[in-house]
Amino acid sequence: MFLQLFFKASLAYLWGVGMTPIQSVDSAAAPGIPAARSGAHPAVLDDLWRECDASAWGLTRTDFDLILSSLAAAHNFGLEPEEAATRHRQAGWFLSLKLNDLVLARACAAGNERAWERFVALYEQQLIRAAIAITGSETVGRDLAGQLYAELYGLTTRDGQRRCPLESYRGRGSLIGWLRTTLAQRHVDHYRLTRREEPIEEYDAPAADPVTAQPSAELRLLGEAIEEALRRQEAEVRFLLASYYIDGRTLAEIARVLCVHEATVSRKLHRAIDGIRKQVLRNLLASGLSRRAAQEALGADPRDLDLHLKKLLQDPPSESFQEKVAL
Amino acid sequence: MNQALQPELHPDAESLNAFMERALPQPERAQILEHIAACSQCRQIVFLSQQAAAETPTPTAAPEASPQAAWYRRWNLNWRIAWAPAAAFALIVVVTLLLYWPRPARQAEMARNTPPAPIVSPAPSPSEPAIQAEVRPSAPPASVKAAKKSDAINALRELAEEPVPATSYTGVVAGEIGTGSQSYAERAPTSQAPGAFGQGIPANAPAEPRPEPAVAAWEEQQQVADELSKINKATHTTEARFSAKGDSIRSSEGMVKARAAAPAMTAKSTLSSSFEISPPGSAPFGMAATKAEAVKLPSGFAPVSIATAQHRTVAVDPAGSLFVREGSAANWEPVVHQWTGRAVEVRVQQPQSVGASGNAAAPPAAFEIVNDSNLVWVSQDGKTWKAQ
Repeated sequence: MFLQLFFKASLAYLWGVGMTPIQSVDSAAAPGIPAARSGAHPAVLDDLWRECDASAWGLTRTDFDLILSSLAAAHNFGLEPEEAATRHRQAGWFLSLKLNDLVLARACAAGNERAWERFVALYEQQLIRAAIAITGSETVGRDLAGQLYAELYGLTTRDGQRRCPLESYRGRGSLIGWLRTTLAQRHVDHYRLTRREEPIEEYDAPAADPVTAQPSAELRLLGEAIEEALRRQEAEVRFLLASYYIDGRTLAEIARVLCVHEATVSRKLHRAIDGIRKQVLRNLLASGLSRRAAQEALGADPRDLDLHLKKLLQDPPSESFQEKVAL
Repeated sequence: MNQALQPELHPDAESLNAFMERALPQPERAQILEHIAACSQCRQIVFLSQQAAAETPTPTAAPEASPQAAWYRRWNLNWRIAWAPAAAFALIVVVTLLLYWPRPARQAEMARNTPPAPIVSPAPSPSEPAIQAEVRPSAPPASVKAAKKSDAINALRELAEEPVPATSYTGVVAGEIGTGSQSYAERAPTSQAPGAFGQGIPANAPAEPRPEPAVAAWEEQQQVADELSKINKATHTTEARFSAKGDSIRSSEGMVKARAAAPAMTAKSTLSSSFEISPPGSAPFGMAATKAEAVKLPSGFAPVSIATAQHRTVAVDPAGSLFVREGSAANWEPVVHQWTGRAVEVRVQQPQSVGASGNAAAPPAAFEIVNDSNLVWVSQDGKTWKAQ
């Protein structure tokens, strides 16, 4: 009895790590075939097919396999492009997806009426409330939600093809979260389209004062030291500084975005400011100033500095996002 | 529009939403964070979406197409992780149980640790009805402190219920104090300890004060019996033989030798916690207490009957085989079968020449065995037997 149980447990564990019982440990540990080329394991797809009940939304098994295989090929199961995914890794990655939302979204994109009924029942009211919350106006919010709903339904066409934004949903987050983010995108786009002359972000760069004399050497060194210190900060610190000091977001809002506690954001901000101050001091010392002169330079009036913090914090990345992500 | 504020390419809604829901792998999350740190538009989208999420609570669970599928999914995922430690834990538990699970023999031994069973008294012999008829449960005298020792009294009462011959303990006590051969009960019936030692007075007889030395001797005897009872209760393996002859009992007034002219009363406490009293009139003088613990005969059985006399022990096993050993030697010698049938009991023959005074020299003890047909064989040394 015990041996039987132990044998079953061993088999199940070996299956879980993607290893068959007759496979050697070395062969199981060795890099397998890249998943981007091989696609998902059929047994994993079988399990997922049974779990998702995708046939209820009119999806065929072929459609289902194609959807998951394309996702797996695009993301390589969350691994680096050259890495190979074991069967266990494949199953884990697929289970991390919101497969039920994904199946529903793809069925809606395919025009399945039953799926649309389900979608409307689940998300219509949430979509309207989210739009009102984003725009701050019920009228504008309902308009925004209606426009997105029509867009999702596929009323827009491009090159004669019906286009549905739901096809871009890949299940890595919840469908309602994706809808809210899409609403926010549409709102920002609409804002920028209608107010081109009044952009959302504008420089507060002061106009050049021709009368102003050239800054002193200490202030010039201080400006350079601050620029250098800000450039050296990590992305999270720059996000905190930009969100808090430039966008004027509260600690709670920043904390929700980063999924951390509000106190954590506050602590990180204080730490970042202290670190930047020390870094500026080091930069000043490195530039040849004495410690006393550097301390005095730090006490200079910020208005005397020719610095554009927005520009400093919001320099575009050295390479585009799409090049990095390579989705 | 400024190029610095609007990078050419932005992450799509899928990536931004996954970033907010912490559903991205760390490298991709770092890239998104790097982008929104510099891109005010994407940062604004993120904050707007988060604001909408805060104001419109999301249902806790995404719509499930099939609850059974979800259950299977969770179960399968959990067990996939837990298989290895669960199997290891089960292995440890099973090995531990195999190593330390108590053996059945130990269980049987433990099961015997029960309160003692009631004393089994043999049927009174035909020669005793007169004495038995005189036994009356009488109230103890006020001067007898032993009346408070109910446990000891009960133990002694149990022992006293054993039919004894005319030369009982009380008779000896009386003989020592009195004139000699006539037993105390026979000579002058007196009130005694409650039910102890059988001898009492007729119900209609007036209570007579008991002589003080006898009372003291009786108290000390009770103390001895009390200790005996404690030993019996504690070990359940002690065979205690109570011999009045070998015990010197001192009274408060002086030395009073209380000798039991009667055969000693033998009480055995076996593993089954039942008292076994040897037949009356079969124990000689000088029988020492014998421990029955761990007595195992060469045949592999425990003895069903055992008797000791003159530093020699004879035992009978359940198969009827007889064994003898000298003193406290560990080796049992098998005795050649010289009797008919199957021996079922061994006992020590009561010497016929022992007088009522108990002062006569004791003749050598003889062993008796009784077979299943109730025939008796006698032996002096336990090895050579002849029919009686």
